[in-house]
Parts: sequence; structure tokens; C-alpha cells
Amino acid sequence: MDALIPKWHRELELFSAVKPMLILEGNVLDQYRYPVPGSVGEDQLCPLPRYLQGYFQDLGYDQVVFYSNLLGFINPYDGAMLERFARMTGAEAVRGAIPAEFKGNGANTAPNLIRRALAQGEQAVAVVLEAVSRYITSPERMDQMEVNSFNLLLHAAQSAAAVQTRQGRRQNLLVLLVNKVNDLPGWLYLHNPLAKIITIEAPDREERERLLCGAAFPSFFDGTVYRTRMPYYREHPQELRQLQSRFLALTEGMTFTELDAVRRLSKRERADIRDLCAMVELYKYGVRENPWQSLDAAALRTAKEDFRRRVKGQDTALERTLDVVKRAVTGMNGAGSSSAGGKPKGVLFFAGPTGTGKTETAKALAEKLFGDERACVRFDMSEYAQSHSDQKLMGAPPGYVGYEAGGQLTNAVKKKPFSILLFDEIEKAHPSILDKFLQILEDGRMTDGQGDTVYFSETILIFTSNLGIYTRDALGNRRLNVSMDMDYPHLARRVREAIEEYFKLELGRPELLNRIGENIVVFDFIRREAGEEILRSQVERVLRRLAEERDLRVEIAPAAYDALRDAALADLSNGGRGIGNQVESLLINPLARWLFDQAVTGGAQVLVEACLTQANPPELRCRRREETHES
Amino acid sequence: MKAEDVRFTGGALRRGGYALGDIVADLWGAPQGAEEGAPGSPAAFPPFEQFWRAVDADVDWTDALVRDTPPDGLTSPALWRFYHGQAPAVLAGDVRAYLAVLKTADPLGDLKPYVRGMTVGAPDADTLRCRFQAEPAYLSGTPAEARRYLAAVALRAARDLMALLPVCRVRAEAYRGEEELLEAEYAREALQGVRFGLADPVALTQTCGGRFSGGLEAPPGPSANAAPE
Repeated sequence: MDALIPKWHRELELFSAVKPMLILEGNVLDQYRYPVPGSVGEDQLCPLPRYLQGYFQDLGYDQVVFYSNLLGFINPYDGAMLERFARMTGAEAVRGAIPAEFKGNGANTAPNLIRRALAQGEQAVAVVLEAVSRYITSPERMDQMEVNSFNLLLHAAQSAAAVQTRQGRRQNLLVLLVNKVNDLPGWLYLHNPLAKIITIEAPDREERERLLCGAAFPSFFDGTVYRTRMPYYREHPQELRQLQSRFLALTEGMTFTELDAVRRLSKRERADIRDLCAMVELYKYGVRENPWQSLDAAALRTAKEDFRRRVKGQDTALERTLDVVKRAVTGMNGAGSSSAGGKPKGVLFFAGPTGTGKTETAKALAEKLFGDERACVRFDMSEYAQSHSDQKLMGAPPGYVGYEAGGQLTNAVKKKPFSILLFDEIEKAHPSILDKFLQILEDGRMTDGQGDTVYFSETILIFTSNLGIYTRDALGNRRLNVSMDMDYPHLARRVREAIEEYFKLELGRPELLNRIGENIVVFDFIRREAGEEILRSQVERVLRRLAEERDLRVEIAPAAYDALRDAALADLSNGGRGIGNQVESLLINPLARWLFDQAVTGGAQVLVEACLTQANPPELRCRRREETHES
Repeated sequence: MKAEDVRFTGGALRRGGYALGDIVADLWGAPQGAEEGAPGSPAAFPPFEQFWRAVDADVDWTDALVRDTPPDGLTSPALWRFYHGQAPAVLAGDVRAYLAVLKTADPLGDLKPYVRGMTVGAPDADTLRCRFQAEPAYLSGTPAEARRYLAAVALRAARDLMALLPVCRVRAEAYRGEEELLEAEYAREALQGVRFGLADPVALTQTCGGRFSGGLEAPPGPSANAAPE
């Protein structure tokens, strides 16, 4: 296989010849695949300092030394280089290190030694400063000594000499390794012609492919597993390619260190070749029980009936919802997409009038899939209406208030990777939040303020919205876009059109709509028949609770129930929630009042004879079964 | 493919695991009889109670396939180069390569003081077969002691062989002359996850389908396998 040289390595080659100060930022704590044969074996994974030692040594540098403010100058790979560096700078090596403070006034502070080393023209020197992000507390609040120290580094770069080596002319070099370039004072690198910032990214697909699918692929498996299972895949190369392709998609965004950990985990667990992708999930979530794999197919087959018992009058919406779930369960989610690996299991956009069961459906789904309604984590998006609300959701960056707490969304997914995330009333969130969702929908992952990558690939995302129910007329007045007298297909079309218009024209984010695809599920109005079912179930629930918790047997006479029904279902525009409000107002409150006034205790039997819905406040006429008593 | 069994004489290349003698010395002090080299009586041999608890270091064959230098510095570069050269054939299930590895690595050499004429063969790519003659001195006690000795040697041999080669099972056969005393087949899957520090070798051997014979038939039940005080 030809050498695959990452971009940052090529930039290093390019700029180490012309710039005396190189700032390597980004993924600096990872391991790296050494791309060419040299003093480090080709394709060998090694930490960045080892990589740089090999790289500069191969370029012909006489001395490579590493500095950190904790250890001083060291070279764990070639002690002789450190000795020569000590002689050159007039310092003293003690037990494999040259102690030197980063800041201070002495002649033997690290910046002074570096300046001396870089200024000489006898031997080519590369000094690598590790973890520079930690030398100072904050680049904005540096004391004068810290400023002086960095200024000395700037002088060192300015006075860096060129040296003739056996392999040609080399520039003495200062290399700074930082997590983020803005951990350094801005004046050190901004508009500084001596410095070049080189960003090290996490390995891209090609690099991962080389590690995962190339010569190193066997090392992901225990010897016995590889010997016994690989012949099958040699005969079925297409299956192996599919497996590797999915593996590549799942490992997107992972560092080499993480990939190597997956490799060792797979070997240790003696994973079968076909279970390679499960090892990525094991690594990411640390649990072996994947609820998606242990889903009871039989239970799912009866889901529609179970959902119907909980959510009334929404057969079409429930059908569409279950289609998405079945796709997720069968692993067909995103099957048409080229990079389905890390995406969420499913995305649903519930739209429709208020009180029609959108949130209830999400909860029912959580209970069905994960056996616990609490696996549905709800976010009220009206709480995220400010432009900075994304910090509340994803976590504040270092140095900001709330950094330690992390983000509400990212914390929830870290805690429960297998869950349903319900974003209620998404249209109320600030548009900048929607950008974050775009990343989740596309990549299935998100890095929180603390730098942890959170994976959404085992979640179902549900957005709810009232978009399309109201619209604005030419004068900007709010008016109903849909009405009870519309049939469902008409209603669904109107709502869908309004949602598309909102994302495309009002928000200007058609790409978000594209990610949701055909998963917009429109909930119907609660019609009379469904309303009656809802009312019946709510009344039954009230009476059952009285029986179970208070030992009171309450019956409602048919005439009273008819009056209650007529009043409760007179206006269905508020859906099931409106019916619940009516039950509270017309039944629960007057009944509680009567029970309290009459000092009815446990064991009593009560008959509600009449429901006086027109009274103010509404009243009930009740009597005990054994005696007649008027309220 | 017919390949001859490898006979172990001990004292060849020593790999990363614990040597049995070291363990014995740690637990009970240096065995006197072994130093004197006077086989023939029980006192002349080191105790065998801890055989099954130790095992040689695993050889990572897939790593050996893809790397020409040891990854962790625990294996000598020379031995790793040998593994690297053999890895393609070993991972292809070539039993000749198995035997070459067995000859070089000598995984059972440290069992020499406890058995006679130990040989290992490879009937197929999935299986290694280990045969040995029981040392009469260890059979002179009670049947329970004899069973414990045989199971301990067989289990240790199986673990060492599985650590060395990517086989699925090891068949162990113990003899007294022509008379078979133990036949057991240890599957890798069955040994996976066993806490050997707590396991009883006889019970484990029986769980793996091991059969004692020649007057050493084990009665069922754990009490029959308990070591004498």
C-alpha cells in the first residue's frame, strides 16, 4: 500500500523548512500512525512526541529535546541528545532531565536555554514544548514574568539559526504543542510571520480505513477467532467489505487512541469478526446490553394496540411512528444513506394541534422500547429561546459559568445513551440551536463544552411542534390554518406545507427539513369519537384512584355522565388536554368539595346523580348509597 | 497432513509466563527433592497443587502477523521474529507450523519434573493432543490425590498450549504404562472466564468431560475431589 501521509504531516514537512516556530494544535494527545519507514516503523502508532522525535531525527536534526514545565527538558527516546543539549546550553542534566522553570528571571529558565540553543549554528536543534496550554492560567491574565517568558520564545524564533547537516540545510526549530491555539497569547501567533499554526485533526476516513481495513485488520481479533472465522469472509469478501464499511462509519470522529482501544477491547473480548461493530458500541457506551438488540419482537407487534389504548384517535400517526421504530429495530434506518453508521436510530417530527397526544406517544414509545417511560427525556424548547441557550444544552466552554455542570442534553445522553429525546415545541428554540441539531442528525454525535464526544446513535429523536396550526394573514394577524371540519388528509397536507414553508422560507434552513425527510407525522384533531374514549378513560381513572387510594366506591348515573360528556366535548379544539381540564373542572373539583363537606370516609359508596355543568362553580348532586343526601 | 508429535524435554526457550519452579518456590520454598534430582519417592518431587493456577503468557498471533517487532517489549525480539515468520501459516491452520512453534517455544518444558514422556501432536488445525506418562510417585497416594495430580497436569498443559497456539481445544491423555488413567478434552470456550485461582482441577476436568480410569474413577460430587488436608 502506498504511504498515506496526513495533511498535518505534509504541512510539517513544508513549514519546518521555512518557519522557525511551529504551533501544533488540536488532536495533540492522540497516537499517530508513522506514515513512512524511518526511525519509527512504518504504520506504527506512537504518541506525538515519539513521532516528532522520529521525524526530526530522520530529517537529520542532531538534537531533539522536549520540554514541559513539570519535568524540564527531557528526551526519553535518546538520552545522548539531551546530554549534548545540556553541553550546548551550559545547563546540567540531572537523572535524565534538565530542570528549568518556564518563567523567572534567571539565566537558566527554559526560554533562555531555548534561545541559546536555537541561536547557535553548529548543530541542528528542534525543541518541542509539550502541553504549552498548561504553562499559564489564562492568556488574558498573564503576569509580566509570563509575558517575558513568551517574549523570549519569540526572540528565540527570531534568532533561530540555519545549520548545515549531513542531510542538507536545516533550520533550528521551536515546536509548540497546544490543545487550542488560543491557549497562547494572541500576540505570539497573530500576524507573526515567524510562526505557522498546523492543526492536527482526528483521523479522517482514509486514515481510519488504512488502520481498520488494511494490513492491521487481523490485529482486531484474537488468533483463534481470526483463524476459524476469516476463511468464511475470504469466501464472502462482499460481506467483509460491508462490515468494514459500517465499522468505518461507526468510528467516525474517533481518535487513533480510541481506535486502538477498540482493537484491544475486541481482542480481549474475543469478539467474532461479525461482532466488530458491536465492539465500537461497547467501547462508546460501556454496556453490553443493547436494548435495541434485546427488543421483544412480539411485544413490538402488539405495539399498535398498546399505543391505541394510550393515545386515542391517532391511528395514522401511530402507524407512521411505528414504521420508523421498525426501521430502527431492523437496522434499516438510513439504509439509503451512505453514512448511516453513527446517525440516530430514528428521527420523528410530530406536528399537529395541541393536546392530540404527541408527547404521550413519545412516552408510550419509550415504555415500549426501553420498558420505562423515563427513558423519554423531554426538553421544553421554549426554555432555549435565547441565542446563548446552546450552552445550556451542550455545556459551556472552559472558563464560562456552568462549565463544570456540562450540557443538559449531552449529560442526558451520556447518562442514558439508549433513550428517546423529546424536543417539545421546537419552533420556540433559538435558530442557532437548530444548527446543533443539524450536526446531531447528520453525524450522530456532538462534542460538549468539556470536550467529551457524545454519541446519539442509539437514540430516537422526536421533535414536536404546533407549526402549521396557526398562520399569519397579509396584515400579520394570527389566524387558524386548519380547522376541525377538515378531514385528516387535508389537515395533514396543510400542516406539512406550513412546516416546509417555515423551514425553507421563514427560517432559511431547508437542510434541516431534508434531514427529517419523510418523518413528519401529523396528528389529527381529537374528533368526537376519540374524545368520548378519552373522556371515558379519564373518568374511569379518577374513579379507580378513589377506590384504590381512598376506598370510596363512586358511581356516576347515566344522566350525569351524559351531561358531563356534553359539556366536556363541546369544544375539542384543545384536544385531550382540554378534555382533562373539563374533567377536573366539572367532576374532580365538585366531587372533592362534596366529599370534604360531607366528611365521607373510606368504605362509603357514593352515587353521582347529576352533573350541574351550568352552575358557577359547577356542582354535582350526590348521595351516599345507604342514605339520601343532597349537596 | 501427517505431522509427528513433539516430545518435550524441558529447558528450551523460556517465554513470558511464570515458571512452575518459581511458583512452587514462592509458595513452599525450594523443593528439596527436585534439587537433589532423586525421583522415585513422593518426597523427591515438588508439590503439584498449584499447577493449574499459572499459565504462560498468550502469544498474540494476529499482532505477530502484522508487526515485525514485539508491541510491548515483553517478548524477546528474536522470538517475536520467529512468531512473525510463522504467523501466516499458524493463522491458516497449518499444523506443521504448529509443531514448529511447539518445538521452538517448548511450552510444557517446565512440566518435565512431574511427568514422563510428554508429547504434543496436532490432529487438526483446531485441536492439540497432549499425551504423558504419569509419574508413579504421584500415584502412590489416595485415588483422590492421584486424580488431583493428573487433572492438574492436564489442565496446566491445556492452558499453556492454548496460550501458545490459536487452537479451539486441547485433548489430554494420561497413562500408566499402556493403561489410560485420564482422558479429557478442554475447550477454549469452556475455560474462558474460569477463575483458576478458585477452581478445583478435578471438578473442572470433569465439567469438561474428562474421564478417569484405571482404578481412579471419580465418584460424582465435589467432596470426592477435595484435596486431602
